[in-house]
Amino acid sequence: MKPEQSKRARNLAVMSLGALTILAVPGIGEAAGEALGAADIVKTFVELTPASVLFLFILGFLGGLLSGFIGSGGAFVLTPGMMSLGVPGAVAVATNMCHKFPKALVGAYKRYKYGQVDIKLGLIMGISATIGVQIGIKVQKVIIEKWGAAGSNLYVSVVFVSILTVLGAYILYDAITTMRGKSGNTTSPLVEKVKKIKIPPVLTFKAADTKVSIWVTVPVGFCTGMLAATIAVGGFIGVPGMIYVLGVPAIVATATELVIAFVMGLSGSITWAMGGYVDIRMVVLILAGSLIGVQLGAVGTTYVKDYMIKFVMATVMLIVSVSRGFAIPTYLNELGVMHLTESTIITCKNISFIIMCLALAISGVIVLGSMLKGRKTLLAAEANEQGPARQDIIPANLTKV
Amino acid sequence: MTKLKENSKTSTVKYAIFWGIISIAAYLVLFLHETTVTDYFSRGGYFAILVIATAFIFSIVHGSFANYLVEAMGFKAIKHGKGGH
Repeated sequence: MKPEQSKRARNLAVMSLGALTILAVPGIGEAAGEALGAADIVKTFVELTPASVLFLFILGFLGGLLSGFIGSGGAFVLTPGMMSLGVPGAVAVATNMCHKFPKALVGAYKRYKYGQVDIKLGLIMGISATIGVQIGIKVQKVIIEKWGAAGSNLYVSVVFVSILTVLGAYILYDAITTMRGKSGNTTSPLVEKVKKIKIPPVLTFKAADTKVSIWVTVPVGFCTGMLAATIAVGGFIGVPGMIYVLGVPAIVATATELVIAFVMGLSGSITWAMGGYVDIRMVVLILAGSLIGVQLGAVGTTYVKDYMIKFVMATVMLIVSVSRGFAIPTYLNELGVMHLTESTIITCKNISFIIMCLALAISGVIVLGSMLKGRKTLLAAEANEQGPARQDIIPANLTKV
Repeated sequence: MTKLKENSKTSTVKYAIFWGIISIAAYLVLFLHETTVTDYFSRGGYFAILVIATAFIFSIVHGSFANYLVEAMGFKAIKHGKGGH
């Protein structure tokens, strides 16, 4: 194919994606993965107490820290967190969505300055994910019609637990293998096969240092969106998809995920805001913590090796999948498959929420630990700058930005 | 060299204070008019522009403060040369 024809094909593909996105935007707000019942669609804004303000700040900070480091996460605990304050489901989902895009914007900008973001890849994935979300919603609606809200919740939980367990275990295995081998990045056999697909237009992603056909990139983004509509954490699919299918290094994949989160978060927020469901007070309170956290997390990525990012991601995915597993008996009870007492159901829900908070706290400790270690290294290097450079303190390939 | 570094550290703290004041002012404006803000922002339709614009403004104002705060705390990025990651 001539370069001119290839360029025309690329432009046509990008324009078609753009048009499909515009068509997909209405209703994207439903893309929170939360099967909201009629009782949840209530527009009530709770009174904020000093305790709830502090709670939102801390949740925002930890969620931001995780997002800055692994490109996603944090959002999974915010919706149930807000609902525990008495916020109706729709307002919690809308508020969570609306805090996501400014956080992703700041995180993406910060990591772009470090040369970690591939904007082209992020935009293509983001647009295709937006379309995927619509299909995800359609699937959800069919399930709700057939098996009701409990059936839909069960479907969401089963998909959540199976996908996150399999992917989390694989990423953990990969991280440990890389760590033991002391090597840089690992590539999956799938990456090599994908690179052989040369159906035009083949796109060059400079920051990601890869060349992939748009016919592979778009389906990966599409699946990210489809699963984001189902399990609410598209990043847990998007990042592994970029690493193990497109061959993008983990550090670039997690940074590019922030662009995808921005695109999806913005379109979702517009829809929810048009319905008037966003509680702007809670949005800015969560942002108070998350904008600090996301920048700390972004800086943290420059202190660690690729496998550390994979390790944190796998840890969070596995703990969160255990947490979601505790929600399954409740839905089985609602469907009449199991019979549980009210107290057992409450206990299961509480355990599920506590484990989710634990996932956030553990990841926070790991990221902050790496940060403090890196800061110590920097300070030691600064102190030694006058004298001879100490190679045991700061590696030769590291310089301050 | 050391003097230059000291100057840069001082200006980072100054920027952090400057953006911190603007950020606090933004939060005060919003929370002192909490009822009015919630009323207008929850009307939906074209009022959605207010929600999105506010989120953008806070991301710039508070994001700038957070950026300088993180730097003032000594957390600076490390650039990786070839073979870094």
